[in-house]
Amino acid sequence: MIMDTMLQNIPQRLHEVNTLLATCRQGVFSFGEALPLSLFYRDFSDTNLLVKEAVCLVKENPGRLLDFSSSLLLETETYLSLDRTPLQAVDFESLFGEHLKPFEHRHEEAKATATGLWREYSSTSNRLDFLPLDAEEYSLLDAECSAAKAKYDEAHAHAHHLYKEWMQERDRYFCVHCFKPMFLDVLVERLKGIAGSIISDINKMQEDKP
Amino acid sequence: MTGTELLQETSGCIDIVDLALCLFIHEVCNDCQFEHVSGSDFAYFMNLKLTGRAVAVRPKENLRVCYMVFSVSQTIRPRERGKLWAEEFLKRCGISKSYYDKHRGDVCGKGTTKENRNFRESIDKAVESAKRLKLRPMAARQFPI
Repeated sequence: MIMDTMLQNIPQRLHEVNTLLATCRQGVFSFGEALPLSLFYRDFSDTNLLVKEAVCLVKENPGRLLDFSSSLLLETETYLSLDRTPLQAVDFESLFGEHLKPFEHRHEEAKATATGLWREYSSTSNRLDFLPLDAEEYSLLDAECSAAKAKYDEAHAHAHHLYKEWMQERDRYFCVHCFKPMFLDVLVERLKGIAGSIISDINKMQEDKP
Repeated sequence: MTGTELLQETSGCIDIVDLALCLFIHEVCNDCQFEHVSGSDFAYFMNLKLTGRAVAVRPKENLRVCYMVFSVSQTIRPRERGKLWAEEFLKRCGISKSYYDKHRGDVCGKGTTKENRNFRESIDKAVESAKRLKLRPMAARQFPI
């Protein structure tokens, strides 16, 4: 998250979370719906960044800071007023596991193919070891062996690519794996407190002005 | 006036311990090492702030709390701030500094109980999860075949 856009982004992102919560149905929750909640938590759980950003912005543009904070306060109040019971039954860890399964499956398939090709190559290569170098069969088998090795290399590279893709997906959405609805409740309460404090500080500044 | 002086109340919202880490630790310690407490109050407690309800260490849990305090203090930068946090947090838990210095690593000892080992693993996992949550993906990994 780029620091100078955090304040600007939070109200909009929380608005999206609120819209999702207002429309989601009990017992029906997909990975796609779990994602905005956990990404919101991941992106904004470092509340110190928000405070630091506010401290920077207050001198530069207190009016803009007041607008952002008022929007944030409004969205936090909306969130806290929503019925969040459907979330309690959602198993985010399982949703994450289900989402990763196709990636794992694709990799396992490619790995099995590569292993099979390795066996073929190995067996050809072993046979080659027992042939005299000047035998006619040797040169035929040598070509076959090189072709088998090339096929294996290609399959191995493909399996490696799918493994990387699987791991990247796992890292990218780790936030879903470890997410609990209570985390979001606590974060939103904290954001509400921070937005309220910013507004209160700016009001004090304005009162102190001659 | 500086921004911090202008936003005095807001500056008081700065946390010493990362919120995500507080909540991962809460998952491990709530109702076990500490009497039942809400996630919100636990995060305030971890950050040495006032809580809605008092937070108390459960009997015979001081040893494990010490390991948790040690692990969390290691995540705070600069290190000196981590040490100061640990001292203040221990006071709030009613644990002496000398007890902490003597026993903070006991759950890692060879002869430790299974419960202590499990606790240590859970705390280590909580710290690791908080770190991973902050990481962005794309770190290349080696393919293990």
